[in-house]
Amino acid sequence: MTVHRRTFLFLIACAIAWLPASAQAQGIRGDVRLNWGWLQLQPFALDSVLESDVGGSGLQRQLESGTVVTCIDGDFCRWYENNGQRQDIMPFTQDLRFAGWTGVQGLSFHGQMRTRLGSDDLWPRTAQKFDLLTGYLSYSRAAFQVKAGRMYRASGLGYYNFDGASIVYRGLKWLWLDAYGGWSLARGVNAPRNGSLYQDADLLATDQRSYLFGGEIGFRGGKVFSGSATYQRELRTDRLGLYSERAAVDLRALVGGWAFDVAGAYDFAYDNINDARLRITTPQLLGIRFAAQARHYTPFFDYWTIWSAFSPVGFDEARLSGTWTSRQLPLLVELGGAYREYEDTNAGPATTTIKKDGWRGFGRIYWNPDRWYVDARYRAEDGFGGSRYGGDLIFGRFLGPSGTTYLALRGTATETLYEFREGERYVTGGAVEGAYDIPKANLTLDASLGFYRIEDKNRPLADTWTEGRASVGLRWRFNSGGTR
Amino acid sequence: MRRLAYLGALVLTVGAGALFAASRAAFEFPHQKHAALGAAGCESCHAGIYSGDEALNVSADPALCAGCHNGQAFPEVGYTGYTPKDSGLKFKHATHPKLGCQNCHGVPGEDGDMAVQAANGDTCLACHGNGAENHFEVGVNPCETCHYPESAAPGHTPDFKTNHGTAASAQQPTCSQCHKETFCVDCHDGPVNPEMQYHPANFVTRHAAESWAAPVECAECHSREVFCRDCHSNQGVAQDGRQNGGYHDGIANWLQQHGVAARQGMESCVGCHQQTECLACHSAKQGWRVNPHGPDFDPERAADRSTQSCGICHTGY
Repeated sequence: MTVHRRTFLFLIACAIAWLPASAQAQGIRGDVRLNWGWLQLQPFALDSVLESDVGGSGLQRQLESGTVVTCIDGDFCRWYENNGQRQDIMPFTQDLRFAGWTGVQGLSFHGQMRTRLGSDDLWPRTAQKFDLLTGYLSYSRAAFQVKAGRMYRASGLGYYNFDGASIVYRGLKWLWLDAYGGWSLARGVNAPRNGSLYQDADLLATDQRSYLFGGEIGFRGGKVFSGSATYQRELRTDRLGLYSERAAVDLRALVGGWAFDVAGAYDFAYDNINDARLRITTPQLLGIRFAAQARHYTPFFDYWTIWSAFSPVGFDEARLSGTWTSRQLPLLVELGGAYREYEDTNAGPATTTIKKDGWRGFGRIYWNPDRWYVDARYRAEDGFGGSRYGGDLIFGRFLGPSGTTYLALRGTATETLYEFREGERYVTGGAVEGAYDIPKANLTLDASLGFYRIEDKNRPLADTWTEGRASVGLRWRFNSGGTR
Repeated sequence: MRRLAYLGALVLTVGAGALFAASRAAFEFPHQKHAALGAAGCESCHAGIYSGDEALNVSADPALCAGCHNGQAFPEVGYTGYTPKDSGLKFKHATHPKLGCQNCHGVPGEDGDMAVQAANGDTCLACHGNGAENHFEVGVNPCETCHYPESAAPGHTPDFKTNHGTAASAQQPTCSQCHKETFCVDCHDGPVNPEMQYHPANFVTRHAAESWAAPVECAECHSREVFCRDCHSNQGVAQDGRQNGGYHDGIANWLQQHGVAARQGMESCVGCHQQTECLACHSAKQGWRVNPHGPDFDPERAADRSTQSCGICHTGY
């Protein structure tokens, strides 16, 4: 954390602490959530012998037993083996969310923080013990809103966290303007790019933090049209370059029950359209609604990496889905599918056997007679890299008046095929899961316990084993009486 | 050219769709103009409203209107019947006979049986109060308790969890009318909260195909370098801990074909491989000096934004 950022966050904390007595919290509400999980994995164990003890030469050699090993001259030859041992992983997270309203009209504070415990290094990010997801002051009036602290921006470019400030002007009925800036945090990590999380994960991780600047203009044409355009860039703190420079446009029209969604995101450095989509949803007629979507997708990578310079290609995808909701029966049926084709890669020989297209199909039946429910889902994902066929069947019953208390049994069966890897995997199993709501105490408890048989076929080191999984959650809501 | 085609197709489709949809004019009966009919009671026109008998049609029978609007007493109106807009709620008039019409449909501050309007959700919550103040908090009350699954809010179709991006961006102020400002954090920040159940159960053992197909962008929530690579290394499927024989043993002559796979699935590559591994061959400074750039690569454009990544492989930056 830089000195500037520390100072900034310190000032925010002081602003909250030094609010005059009349402006101290008039109401605060939020919740505490504890989630404990248990799962088993069966990793592969590393083994090695001295390089001098292995005959032959080169990087890849073979032991007398036939095991292929990777050798470094003068060092070791190593290989991985399945020793059948399981590892128990028990991540434990605690979340605190709150929003408080002060005596000053329009002034509020918001926060969400998370602590992670257990299973060091075996579960992603458990080494990051404390995480401030959001924490900011907000001053909101009819015409504008100002925020300062750690916050996020969700736009057509995705979800970005940053430490800084933002101002939204919404004084005109049909228009809003948003400007924001600060120190950016890496997507999906909520930590600086030059922090230990990245340094440990990549030998070429950047050593510079970055500033985030962006602006958005949005409009509303009554209840029919709405849209926004966003421009955003991330600048290295040493100002020697950018980590990203992108723009997005999102448009929506709701006319006579029809919904038209148009979206696009553009990467300036590599002249890539990361996302372009048109989605049309029909009105519901006789309980039936259709959605059709055309989409182009090319992945985006931060500029500190070399990945975009390797010219990744995207795919074009057409998707159609339909839902039928019966009014006579408590029944929902959903069916859909999609087909995609990848762009020409201009790489490799013409005889390449790698798939250049893929498709998916999915279906769901949800039946909810009285307090019972049956939820059957199937999904087939066939394509480049890997394919999966399978689904879940859930059979449950709501037990309490609110619908939050329930008990359910879940069965699952999945087949996974790997295009780049010999063999396939079959997962079959089941779980019992439920939740219990205690409204008077504002408490909700949930728990699940399941076992899954994992079978790898036609694969070296294959082993069939049963994985155990469990979770326990507790959520306590508090509300001192404040309102929004 | 390709972009122009995209743009043209988008504009044409949106325009045609909007025109078609706009042609479907909404119908709204002017109750206040027919105040004199109020004395006969609501059921005189809305027969079947309490019996729940769909055959009787809860909206007025066209024959009733034509009785007066016959071209002589009153102008003809051409009303041929009306299918009420689907509320998407599991509400039935027949199960609420004691409430009386005005309790839900009355216009505040106006008198008369014909001063009516569409009921709104607040009316329901006045009685169905359990959790009402947390009505919009997912997980407190499942939406399905009152709503048909696709109707928790207008436009919230069953697949809205994976397809809400455009709507959320285009009409941000609308979202904030119901959802707290921290709502997005629940799913979008780091490890998925178990309560949200965004992924199906035990997704860890069956996520491979979807990570290749990218029905949604995984990197939206998960760092490829930190989240994906962490786990893959621990499980022996990353380059740093690969299994005997290597991961790519399902394709013959992998080295010759990996370029196609890499360009099609770069996101997945990053889940296992570090940059240094590719640089062993793809660098102008070392190794085999194989050029990784595609035909459309514009080096000046990229270097204008960031020379850092150029300098990894090339001298002079």
